[in-house]
Amino acid sequence: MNKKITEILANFNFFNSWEEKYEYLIELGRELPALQQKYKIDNYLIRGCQSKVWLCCEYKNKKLYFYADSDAMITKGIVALIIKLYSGLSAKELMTEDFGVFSKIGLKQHLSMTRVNGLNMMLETIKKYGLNYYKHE
Amino acid sequence: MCDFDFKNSRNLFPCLIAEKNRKTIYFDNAATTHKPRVVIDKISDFYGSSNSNIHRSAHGMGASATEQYESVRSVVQDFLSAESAEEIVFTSGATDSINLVAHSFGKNFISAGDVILVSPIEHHSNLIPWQMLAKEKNAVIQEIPINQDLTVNLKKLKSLLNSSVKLLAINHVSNVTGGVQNIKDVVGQAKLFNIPVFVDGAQAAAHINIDVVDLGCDFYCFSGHKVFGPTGTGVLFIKHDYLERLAPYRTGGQMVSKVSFDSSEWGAPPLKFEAGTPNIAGVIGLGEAIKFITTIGILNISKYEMELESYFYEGLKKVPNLSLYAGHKRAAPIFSFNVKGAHHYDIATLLSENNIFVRSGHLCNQTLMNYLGIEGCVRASLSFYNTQKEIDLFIDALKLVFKFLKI
Repeated sequence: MNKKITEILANFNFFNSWEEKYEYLIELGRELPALQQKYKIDNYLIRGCQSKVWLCCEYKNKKLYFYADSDAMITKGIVALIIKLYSGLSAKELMTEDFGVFSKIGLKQHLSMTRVNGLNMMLETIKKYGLNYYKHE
Repeated sequence: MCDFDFKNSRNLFPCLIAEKNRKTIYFDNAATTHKPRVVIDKISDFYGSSNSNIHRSAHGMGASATEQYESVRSVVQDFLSAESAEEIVFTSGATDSINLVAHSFGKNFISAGDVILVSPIEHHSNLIPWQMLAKEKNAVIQEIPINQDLTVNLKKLKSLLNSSVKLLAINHVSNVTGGVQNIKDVVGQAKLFNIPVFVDGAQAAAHINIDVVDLGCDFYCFSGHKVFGPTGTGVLFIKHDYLERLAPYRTGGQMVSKVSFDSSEWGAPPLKFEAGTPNIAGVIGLGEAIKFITTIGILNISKYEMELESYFYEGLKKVPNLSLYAGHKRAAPIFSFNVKGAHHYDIATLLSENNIFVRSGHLCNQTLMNYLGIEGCVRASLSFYNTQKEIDLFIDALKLVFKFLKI
């Protein structure tokens, strides 16, 4: 399992209340570098989210870097989590990543949201970027 | 004087008193209501003791099932004050009812260039079927003009009415604001040009008395699951004038009178509109749900809910930076709002952590969101099993959420 996931899970286990978990998530969102305004357009919008999520990818030195933002604080925190996990990997590395891992680490158990807002759609988009570059390398 | 104990009525709903939901404050009734024990038992009893197909079996069990199913038609007829039970068609929900009319009315009454008037504040269910129909027939879909307070602007409407307008579709009660339209006035205008009126009553049926004769509309629909009945059930009232003139929606078993290899003749309405084996247990459950409402009395429910409405309104008014989307008179305790500096999704998510369940998003009404100039909002929608105490807890939780979000 991705080392970063173990780290995140440990952080979640450390918190006792939902307040602390959400504070952590919102803090992660705050630390996320701002997405340039020019990327906040429909082309980069992830469908299926209750709040807006823009996600774009930069391919540099054979690595994929993801940049994203959301208009909702909690969603932005989730976006930040995803970027923490998957940004900066090569297409090949991305192909070996386990994208089902979010349900395995029990994010849904930790955050009693009825559905993790558009999470699967974000992961799908990242996977597609990875696959695309992998095919072209 | 009503002797129904509203304050303890939550106890009649098994899901709300289940151990894991005891602390839940359910304010998402405009999405779906909970089901009382009597409805759940009725459905279970049907499968447990009289399961059979209807309208075709000569045996006793089939006859009993048919009788139970058909008796619901009279229950719904009374509930809507329709003139006859034949005017009541069972569907899978309000969406299905609207699609039925768009198809069956559209087939025989809409041609190229005709106009369908739809308000810009409809739930997607009462917009998209008309869009599809207009596209298919090369007809034109046109906005019903509305006032600032979201009621139909009758004066402007009048100027749009002419012989090209073939149908007018409008909600009775808004799924966003809970506001009620003056259907009688709208129908009054439309009738000057013999324009049939379709009314979406999905958010009205659980809250106010409905009299389709008094309203004067030609079509009226609602969903079973929003009136304490099972999902997958719905009602469409078709005024008798149209029963024979509307084409069938779906074809198949039960809806025919004579079939040869290359042609078929349709049976009499309403069965003409109910092809195949219907949701028998569901309809019987829906009948029980409506009896449940009428036993309490819809006017008693309205009165109690309006007390909740005033109490909630007063509470929300005191919350700083909160914009409530309202205008016309609220007939259902539905409140949609935004708070400056907070995203509706964050508010709904954090309320959920406080065991308060509300809806957030565009509420399947993007045209109204556009009209209001917002992306989405939070919606708290109440039913008679909610209480003032829950409203107090909601307001307290809202303040906690704001504190958490630092706004």
